[in-house]
Amino acid sequence: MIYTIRHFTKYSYAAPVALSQHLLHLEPRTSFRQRVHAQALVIDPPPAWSDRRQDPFGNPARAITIDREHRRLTIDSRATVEVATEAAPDPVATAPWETVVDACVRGSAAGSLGAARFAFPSPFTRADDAVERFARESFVPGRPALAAALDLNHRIFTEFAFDPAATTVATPVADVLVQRRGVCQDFAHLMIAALRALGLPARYVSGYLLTHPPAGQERLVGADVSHAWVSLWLPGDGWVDLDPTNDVIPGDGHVTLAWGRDYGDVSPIVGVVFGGGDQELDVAVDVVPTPSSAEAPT
Amino acid sequence: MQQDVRVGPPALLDDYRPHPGVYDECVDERGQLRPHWRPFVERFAALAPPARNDLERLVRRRLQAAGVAFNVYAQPDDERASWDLDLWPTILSVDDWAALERAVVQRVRLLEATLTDLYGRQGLLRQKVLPPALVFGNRDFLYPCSQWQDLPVPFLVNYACDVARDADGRWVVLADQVDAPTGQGWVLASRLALGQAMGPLFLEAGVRRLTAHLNRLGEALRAGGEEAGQTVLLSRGPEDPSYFSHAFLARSLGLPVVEAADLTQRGGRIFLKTLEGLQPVGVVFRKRAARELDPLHLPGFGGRGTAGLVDAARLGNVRVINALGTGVLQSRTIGPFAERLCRHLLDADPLIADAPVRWLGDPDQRTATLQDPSWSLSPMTARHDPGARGAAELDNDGSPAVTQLLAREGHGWVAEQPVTLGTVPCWRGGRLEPVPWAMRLFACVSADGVHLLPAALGRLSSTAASAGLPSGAGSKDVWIAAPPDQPPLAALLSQRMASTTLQRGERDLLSGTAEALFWLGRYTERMDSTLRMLRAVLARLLEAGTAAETAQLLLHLVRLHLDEEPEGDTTLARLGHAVATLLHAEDCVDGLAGCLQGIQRNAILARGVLSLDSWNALNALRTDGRWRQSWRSALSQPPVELVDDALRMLVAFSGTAAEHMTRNDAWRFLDLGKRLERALQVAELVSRGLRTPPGVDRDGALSALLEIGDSYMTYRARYASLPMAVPVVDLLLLDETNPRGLVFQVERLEATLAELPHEGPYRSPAQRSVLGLLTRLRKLDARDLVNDEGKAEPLATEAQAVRTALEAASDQLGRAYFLLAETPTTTLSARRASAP
Repeated sequence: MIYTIRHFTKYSYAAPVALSQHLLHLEPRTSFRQRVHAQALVIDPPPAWSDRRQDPFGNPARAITIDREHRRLTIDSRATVEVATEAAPDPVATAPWETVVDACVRGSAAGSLGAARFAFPSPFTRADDAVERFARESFVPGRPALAAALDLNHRIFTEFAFDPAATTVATPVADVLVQRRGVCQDFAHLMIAALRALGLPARYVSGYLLTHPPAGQERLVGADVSHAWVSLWLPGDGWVDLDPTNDVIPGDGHVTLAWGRDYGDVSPIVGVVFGGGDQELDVAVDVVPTPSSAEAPT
Repeated sequence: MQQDVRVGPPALLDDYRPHPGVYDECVDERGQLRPHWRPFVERFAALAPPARNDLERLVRRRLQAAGVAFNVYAQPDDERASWDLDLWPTILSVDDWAALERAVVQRVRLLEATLTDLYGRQGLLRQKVLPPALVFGNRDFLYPCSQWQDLPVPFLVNYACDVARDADGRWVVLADQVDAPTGQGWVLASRLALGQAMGPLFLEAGVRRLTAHLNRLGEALRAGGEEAGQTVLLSRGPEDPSYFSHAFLARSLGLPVVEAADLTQRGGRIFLKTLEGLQPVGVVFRKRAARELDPLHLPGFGGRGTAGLVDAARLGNVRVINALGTGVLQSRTIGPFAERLCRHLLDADPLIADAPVRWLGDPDQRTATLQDPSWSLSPMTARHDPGARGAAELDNDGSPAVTQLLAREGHGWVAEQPVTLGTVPCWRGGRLEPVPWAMRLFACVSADGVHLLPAALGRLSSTAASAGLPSGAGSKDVWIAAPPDQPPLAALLSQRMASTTLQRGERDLLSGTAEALFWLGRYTERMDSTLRMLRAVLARLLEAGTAAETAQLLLHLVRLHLDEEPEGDTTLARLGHAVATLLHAEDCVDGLAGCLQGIQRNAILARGVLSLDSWNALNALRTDGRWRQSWRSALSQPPVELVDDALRMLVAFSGTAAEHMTRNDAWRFLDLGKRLERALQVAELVSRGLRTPPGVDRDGALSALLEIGDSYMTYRARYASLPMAVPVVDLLLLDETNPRGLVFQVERLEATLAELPHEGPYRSPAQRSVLGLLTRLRKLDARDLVNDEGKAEPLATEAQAVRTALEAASDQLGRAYFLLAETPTTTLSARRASAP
């Protein structure tokens, strides 16, 4: 499937901003199931300084500084991306989860050192005893790792309510677990915290989700959304994506932007702004299948 | 026999009994004085007892004068915050020092090699010399600082090692201080105080001097960054318990102390914000944990820092010392692996052992530890800095909660066995006692090798054993015996250290300091205005009692400074509530509590540019114990004296500032704040004060306004009549010769604004606002503003114009000079909100 993606962000400030500095993770990365055909970024006002680099997790990132006074900042990111579906391993045939932890701790499998980077709590994924108990309900001793992870994925989908008003960026996963509400980012952080509480390597994936308009209706421009999900490492199989918000193993409807230990590593836009007062934020995302590949499989 | 008398311990040590089986620095196991102590002990013994006590007092006075403390906000009499230095030094022999030097040099090489590997190719993890969890589970392993094309060389420039002598006399490492070692300033200040107080006793004791090391540290810091810009010392500011130490070290090295908000990143380079513009910075000598330094690249740690510092360092445009990321090896991280690492990286055995320590990320070590309560549990990176709060420990009680926590997060914890510490004689109440001790050694890495500061931060322990650098029982200066070939004595410390005042650098005025001065001016003036009103109210209360008519007037006056209606059933109750609010409520804009906080905060930030007398006046004001009393019953026991004294101290502050401050930009910003606030206050006083509610004695109100406006005598001299509205308005607002009047303040504002650095041929926006106001005021006629029948609407309009113009000027001033120093806000993009 080939998509054209537009991710448009507008900040409006009540007072003039004298200086702003941002770090952007808006350029989709390549991965084993994703190729980037084209990519462009338009920033207004134009940055006085801009520096593109690969971040420590291999994602393209860009730092910008705007030093002229402004009341409005727009960041318009466009990309053409080709996404494939990878067959997931047979869940019940995967190794018991304890051996995954072991492989990671002892470095006894190929890629385990890379995986170990994602096996420990990060600022947004600190677990407490309750989060660990929550994980162990799915991860009973000896259970195949992917089967247990899919069960956890399903439990978060069924037991938690989608509620954008219930949490903020700063809500700890322990609170999300108690109130059983949140958005995809909270569910991803909770699931990662739960997996890591057991010593399993799990990473945070930032990206987009193709949404299907209700039957007979036009696709609304800008109605698509940023999304976040989880990836679990299995020795031999590598990284397997899991989306607890939708109870699926992501396929060609999920476009990857970047991955890291948590949201803090790969936030699409993080900024430090001097002045500005109150601010308003408008975001519009469009994920449009190109005509040649528009006939999505039913 | 004569020979024996001199070799044996002098009478001073006759009663000194070290604990059996515990190594003592001064006396050996047979009770004999160790030879390297003899020069000092003999000279001290020769002093008459009163002279010894004098010496002790002198040391304490010198420390106080230097302001050595943990907490610069603390009350002067707060013992927990004071620096308690023992009169007797610890003296280490030439041989001891040589052994420690070799050990620390090896340790620095080991740490440097480990850091280079972990932030580079990670061979130590691939070859399983170190477990991945030790690094990836460590919050101070900074991913954005790894895999750079050009890694920092070296990572470590400034290192400290916490070392103890155990009961058997062996040196052991208690911890590595690698992130931002703290304490050198205390060593220098202690040495200065003790050395100066002791005079010949110190000079003749054959002790190694510190000057050469300081020069070397200064060179090592500047090397490789000097051509890019100046070198600054980055501190968390006065709230850091080590602030004194940081500032003293900076002063000794001739570096400005800056905070994160004083720095900015532009185009991948770091600059210092000064009033004259941005000045390039080549080296940041940081005294803060690296994870707090860049809210863009290292989010999740509070967000106060310099956005983009990591980029500037990665691009090689600024040198951060120690390099960003060194914290990954802080405290006990490599302790459990030191032997293995040393063999692997240096092909050598360690020259110094680590105090017993286990890493609890290892399941076997964890199990063994949980079965043996002689091991205590603590966070791997606990720092044990003097004056800082201890890290949260866990009880090794074998409980399921602890077991579960460690199974999940053991990679961040270590188990330690306390080391039974050797002792050293301490001077306690006129006699010597053996006290357990340990010390922090400081090293600097320069192009030609690793150098140890020939001194140490000695710390005394109240317990016989300790796992980390002890605290709570005072400090020791540590003297290193000089080899016989030490060159002739240089100055005690370098000359520039002799001054004991702390300054934030003497180059250009930092924007942050200018802003602090402006607000200091505003808060002192605001407090002055509230105090004058309270003085007038309390005086009338004492004179006339609480008759209904008086109470109405007084309530009217007090309400001039309140935003909210005071509570109460009767006029008197409301008056009492209003006065108490002004004294205590921190959220009341004109309230004294809020003003005091503002004065305190800004005075500390601006301390470096205030004269000692100005500082002392403000210090006396803010530390007055009476502010902490409750004045709830302010009417029955009015705080008349407190108000009088506070006013006196504020006048003293203004006086010393006017007399002693050079007419430079620092003085200008203080004056601008003062004038602007006074102008606002007097305009408000007159316009609101003349709007007397029914029942309030108008003549009484006019008199009070003149008194509060400090213009009563002028009025009497000029009009020799009862106060009338028109002349009162003229004198307080429009009379250009009244130094307490409105127009006078606005004139001064305009003149001072004209003297500020400013680009372009036109007047600055702030100056234009003020000039517009001045012209407007000069055209007014008091008779058009009010009359004695109570007309006051035009006055209210003018007061509003004054407020608008001055607030605009304040904003414009901020935009032109302070905006760079204001606290930035961190924004995140929209949260993902994918519908299920």
